[in-house]
Amino acid sequence: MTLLWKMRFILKDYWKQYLLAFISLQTVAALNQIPPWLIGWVVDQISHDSLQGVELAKTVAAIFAIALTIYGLRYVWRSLLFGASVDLVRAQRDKLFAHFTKMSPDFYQRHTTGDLMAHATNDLNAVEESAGSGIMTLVDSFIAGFTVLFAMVFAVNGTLTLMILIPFPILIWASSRYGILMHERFGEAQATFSALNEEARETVSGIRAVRAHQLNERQLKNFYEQSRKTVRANRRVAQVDALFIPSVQIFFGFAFVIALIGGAWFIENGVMTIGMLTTFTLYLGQLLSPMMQFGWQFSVFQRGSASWSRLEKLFNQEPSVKDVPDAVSVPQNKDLNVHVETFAYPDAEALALKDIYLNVPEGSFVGITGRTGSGKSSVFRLILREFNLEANSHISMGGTALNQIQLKSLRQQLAWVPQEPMLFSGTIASNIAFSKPSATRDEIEAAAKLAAIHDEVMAFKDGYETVLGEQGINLSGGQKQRVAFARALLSDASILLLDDAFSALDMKTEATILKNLTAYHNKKTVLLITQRLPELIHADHIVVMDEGRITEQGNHRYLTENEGWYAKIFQQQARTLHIDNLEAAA
Amino acid sequence: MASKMSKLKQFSGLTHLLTYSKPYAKGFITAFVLLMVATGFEMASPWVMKIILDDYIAAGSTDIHALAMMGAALTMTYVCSALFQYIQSIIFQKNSLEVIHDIRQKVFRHMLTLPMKYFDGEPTGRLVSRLTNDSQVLHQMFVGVIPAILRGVFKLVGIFIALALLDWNLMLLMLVIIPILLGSMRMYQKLSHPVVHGIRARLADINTSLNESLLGMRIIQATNYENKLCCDFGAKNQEWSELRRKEINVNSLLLMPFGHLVQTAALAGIVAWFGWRSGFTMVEVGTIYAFINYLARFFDPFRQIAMQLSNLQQSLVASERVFEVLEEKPEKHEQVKVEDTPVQAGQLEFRNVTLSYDGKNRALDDVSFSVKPGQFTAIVGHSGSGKSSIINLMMRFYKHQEGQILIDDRPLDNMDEDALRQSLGLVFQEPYIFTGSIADNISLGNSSVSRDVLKAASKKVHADRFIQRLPGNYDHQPGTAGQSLSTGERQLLSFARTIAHNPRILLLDEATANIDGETEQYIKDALITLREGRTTIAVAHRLSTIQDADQILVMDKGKITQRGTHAELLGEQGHYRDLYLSQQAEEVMQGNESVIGSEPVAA
Repeated sequence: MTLLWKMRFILKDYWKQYLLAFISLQTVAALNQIPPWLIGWVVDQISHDSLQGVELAKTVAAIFAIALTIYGLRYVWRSLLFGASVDLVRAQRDKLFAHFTKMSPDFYQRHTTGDLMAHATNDLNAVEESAGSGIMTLVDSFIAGFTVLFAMVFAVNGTLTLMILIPFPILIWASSRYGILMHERFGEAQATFSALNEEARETVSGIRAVRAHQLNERQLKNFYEQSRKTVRANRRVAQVDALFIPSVQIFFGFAFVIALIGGAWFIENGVMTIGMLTTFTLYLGQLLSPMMQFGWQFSVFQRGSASWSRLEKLFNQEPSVKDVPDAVSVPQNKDLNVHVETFAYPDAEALALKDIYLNVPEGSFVGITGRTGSGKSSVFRLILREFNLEANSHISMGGTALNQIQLKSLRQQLAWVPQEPMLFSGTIASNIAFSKPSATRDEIEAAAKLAAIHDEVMAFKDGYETVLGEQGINLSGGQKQRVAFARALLSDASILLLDDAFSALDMKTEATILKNLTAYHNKKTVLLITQRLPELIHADHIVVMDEGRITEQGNHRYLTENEGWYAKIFQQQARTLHIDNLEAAA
Repeated sequence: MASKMSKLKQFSGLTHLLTYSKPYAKGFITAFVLLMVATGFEMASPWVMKIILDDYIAAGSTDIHALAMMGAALTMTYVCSALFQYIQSIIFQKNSLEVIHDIRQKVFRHMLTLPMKYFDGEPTGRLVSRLTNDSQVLHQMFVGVIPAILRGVFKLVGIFIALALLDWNLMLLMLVIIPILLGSMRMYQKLSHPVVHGIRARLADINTSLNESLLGMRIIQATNYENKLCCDFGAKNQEWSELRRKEINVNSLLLMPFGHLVQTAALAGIVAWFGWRSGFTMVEVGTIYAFINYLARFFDPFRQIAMQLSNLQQSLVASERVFEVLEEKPEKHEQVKVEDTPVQAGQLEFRNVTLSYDGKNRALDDVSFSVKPGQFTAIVGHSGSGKSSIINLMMRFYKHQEGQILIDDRPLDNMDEDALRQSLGLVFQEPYIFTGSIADNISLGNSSVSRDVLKAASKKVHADRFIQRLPGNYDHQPGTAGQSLSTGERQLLSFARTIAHNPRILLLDEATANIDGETEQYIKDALITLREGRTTIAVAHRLSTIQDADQILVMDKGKITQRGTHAELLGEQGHYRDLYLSQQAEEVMQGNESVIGSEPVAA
């Protein structure tokens, strides 16, 4: 019930549908009281032998008309009420998805994909059930229950109504007990089932290990034991589950017995007629479903409430990076200035970056290098504004701090290529045109040629229309990197952020791409993270990082003359790669 | 034709189920008998009411004692019906759970005998689902569908018998309802089937799109793709909601509300019938009452059967999936004579071996090489070049089509599988950690591996160091798939496992993952320890680890394209040299002194 209160702001958008549904429900409940009454009347007429043919025909016609009306109204309220719950969930799912797209990387560090997906499906389904059949049952069991009781009291006999109600508190108490027990035991059964699933998964996914180490018997034994546990837990569920219907039968039986015996006594005393007793027992039958549903809706709301709380927790999280109120668009001048005194990732103690001061003039080619874990990618992540900077630090573009620039506008200027390229299901063409859906085929092909992937794409049967599976599974690592690179080249961004984007390429392809890039970079700023120093020979400026700091910087000539780490590594790499000739050739 | 076939197949699912139920026939029969008794009592109560109405109330009897007796009898019918139903339900559930358990065991056991190809063909999730989810659906069928249908049929028969006893003619009239209800059910199935399928497909779409978007959120945001994405997602969501609404409408049109309509119409019919009859004969009020009461019960089983029909459909599909596993042929090696003597010297030879997984493409194409006892052979090449296939064949995970594989000059095919695998120590690229303690994971249930042996083994490969730091040391439970261990630690643990079992031949599938510096050094050390005195075949990704190999095989597209020692291969133009140079550049960057130390041989 608290769930409804919590969801009131969302439910209120649908109040018209709900209200109309409730009115229809109430009308149905009221109309439902008429046929038993008419039948009772006919029974009385028959028992007095005073039934007229015309009256009978009228009665039958009335019952039939009522039945049709009820059918229509039932259709209406179901359509309205369940329709509202579907609309509600659809809207919430859209909202959740939009919320996801706004969240910053720290959010995705806290929540796994599977967990977030469960929110958007399982949890929303539970909410749909609460908003649909949950509310329906709740309202219906109240409306129908009270309407029937009302009819019993006023159309038949108040005392008898009170008498038949005696068993019901016990029934309600018992069914809520069963509900709790059921919840517990079902939870246990689910747990054993998950464990069984895990046993099977372990064996199937590790089938090679199982065979290599001859573990058949061990796995069989474990699976057997877990399966036995599942059987035991399910039997415990069955023991409670099987109680439910017989209990309802017994208590309703009691109510019927009370109705008949009590009714006999009232008829004896002339308070009631036999027709009224018939009406009464028919009403009693109508009480059955509201009573049974009443217990059921508790568990629905319980589930819905748990799910809604989980969803609220997500909705309540604000993206940590967002536009400030008076954010401006990107300035004309695209010079980048990085001034980071310290930076640590959220929830991390160690500093990721310290004293990073860097100028990247518009149109320049800046290389960043250093060992794995030296903080190169962190610099990119800050330029991409994935995280907020501390007060002592700022990154600006054309003199405007990045956090004063609208995110959308900033991102339009940045084309980022991560080391692990992310491709999406769809065609190769749509993946390249990801950041510029309006691109023509010629533009796409031009970008692909620059990224040295065109020939390979054309070799596929469907060329650019080749459909990639989820995560682009049917391309090799190097092909994926080049598609991602083509995507960046095609975008209108003025700054390319290439994060070790050519690591999976062989040296020849890499050289081609670098050559294309050098020819191309006149127009755009290029920031290139790499572990292969020869890629940086033509860079305007090179930054060497280690443990989150800049240890050396300058252009290639300066650094090689400087006799530092760069010079040493470059020589070694050049020697192994025989780069002397390459440099001469370039 | 196709539907006929699938119907037949579904039917075979049912017969399968019957076969597995046979051992529990006694229990099931008891449950059926009890169900019949319970239904009998349930049917008796309106009849008792009729007697009370006609003989006592309508007759104006004042015999309170007799009335109380009838009241007690009526109570009895309710109590007995409930009681028998409860007992029946418990017995039924108990036996059906046993049947499901048996089926699960059988399927699992059978699955373990299936060839590796079977496991390659399907994603793990789907196979696991056959063992668990699908068998759970079977369980639902047992405890939900079958009893509901049986109870429904029993009830309907009981009701019609009672109606016939009350008024033979009216009972015949009531039969008209059956085709109406059946027709509506048929129509419902026809209308709802495509809608339900559509909903499922849309949900799958929504899931796919969620998964992809969440995984790629950083790039999506970086490219300002959010709005377009939200639109796409919204469109899918919209389609889903429209279908859901359609489903709701179909349900409201044909399910509950329609049943109620027919019920009330039938009620009107009964009133008309008795009203008309009362004009010329004597009509007992109790009969009318009982008729109405039976009629109310008449729709319940129908509703339940209708509801269970869609479940039945699902269960049949599920049972098909479960029993399909049993139809798969287990792996069979035609063996001339089985020799269960383990590998002695550890000499290995591949003679013109050809392997194809799918019968079309060759994973290994005419591969020949030999390895002397104690020698170290490394295999390098692109992914998909056939490196792992060599290990797969040695482990007898697959059967090659042509050529011969010899161990100690004996054909591999003639060896007993267990003896063979005992002699081979396979170290996986991604070490597999089983649920259980660290000690269990080293000994793997082999009683010859005592605590001392496994401790000594762990010390040898530097695994002891991190194990000592774990809570509970060797009794530590690393959780599902070794969650609490780092990649490097899992690696070392699998080395300890291998050393403890002391295999003659070591098959090494080198890890590609990056491991932190300190552990990396331990792993390198441990690998040397592992190789000591063993014939070793290593699938290598990092050439720095195989420079001291006695022989390096370079593979491409299933063929061996180059072979020789590190020095020899560096001396020739080719794939090995390219690969080495580009890796060298990166190793240099990471400051791997050991690599920098070894000068490449000039061309």
